[in-house]
Amino acid sequence: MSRNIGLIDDSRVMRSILRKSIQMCHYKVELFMEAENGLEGYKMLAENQENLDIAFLDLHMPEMGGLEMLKKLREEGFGAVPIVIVSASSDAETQQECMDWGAVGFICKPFTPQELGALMSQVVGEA
Amino acid sequence: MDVRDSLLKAIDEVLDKMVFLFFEENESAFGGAKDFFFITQVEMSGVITGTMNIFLSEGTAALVARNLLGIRDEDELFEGTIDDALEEFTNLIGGRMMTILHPPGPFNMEVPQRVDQPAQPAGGQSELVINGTLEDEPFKIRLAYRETPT
Repeated sequence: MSRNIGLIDDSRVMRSILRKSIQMCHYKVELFMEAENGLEGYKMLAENQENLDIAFLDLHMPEMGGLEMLKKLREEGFGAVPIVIVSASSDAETQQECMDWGAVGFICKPFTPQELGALMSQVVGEA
Repeated sequence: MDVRDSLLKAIDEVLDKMVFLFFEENESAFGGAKDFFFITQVEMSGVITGTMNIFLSEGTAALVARNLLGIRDEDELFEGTIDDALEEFTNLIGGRMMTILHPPGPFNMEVPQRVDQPAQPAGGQSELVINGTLEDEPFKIRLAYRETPT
């Protein structure tokens, strides 16, 4: 089964790392949709509610941060895409706030491909 | 956790989890900045305020970039790709160190950059240098910082 995956991160390298890690976990990917800032990411998620199986969202980005985007998506009724927050911060309060606004998971950098794979399997099922 | 232990833990975690390399600390100092092919720099502020530099040999810079990005040995590695990868590598180590420092607190990091020469420590800053090897090649991190008054 192939998945469509959204990657929203201002770092091109981090988007590459996410792609590599997902592929190392043997997930078949039909399409990676990518955005490099919060505004682009918001538009991408809002327009692809039916197409994306999961999206990884950086917490700290220019234009619109991950938490702000999460709130805006939920407030405007775009809650269909499961969103995993990616952040350097392991702060429990921040994690809880993201979960309260509908994130389905939180992964702290640095992460192993196995940690990412375990989170993906909870959200979209096994590879 | 103090600054030195936080930095060492951050180095180990990033290398182990995302670069798949093992850092071996070795206090015998390598040469100066001119002996390293690649130097990155990032400014950070939070519980501490300062500048971090990472020094790598040419071979280590390429190895870290390949492993971080999953680029196979037989595929060409462009200099711009090494720059991008090493800047993110610096961001990962700096961000992780600031996250595990105690006491914790919010922090900000500028965009890391490759530099020809590291910034000199400003007056009143402490200097922390960690020397070691990655795959038997020299690897060094220097942090010039001061604790931010609360």
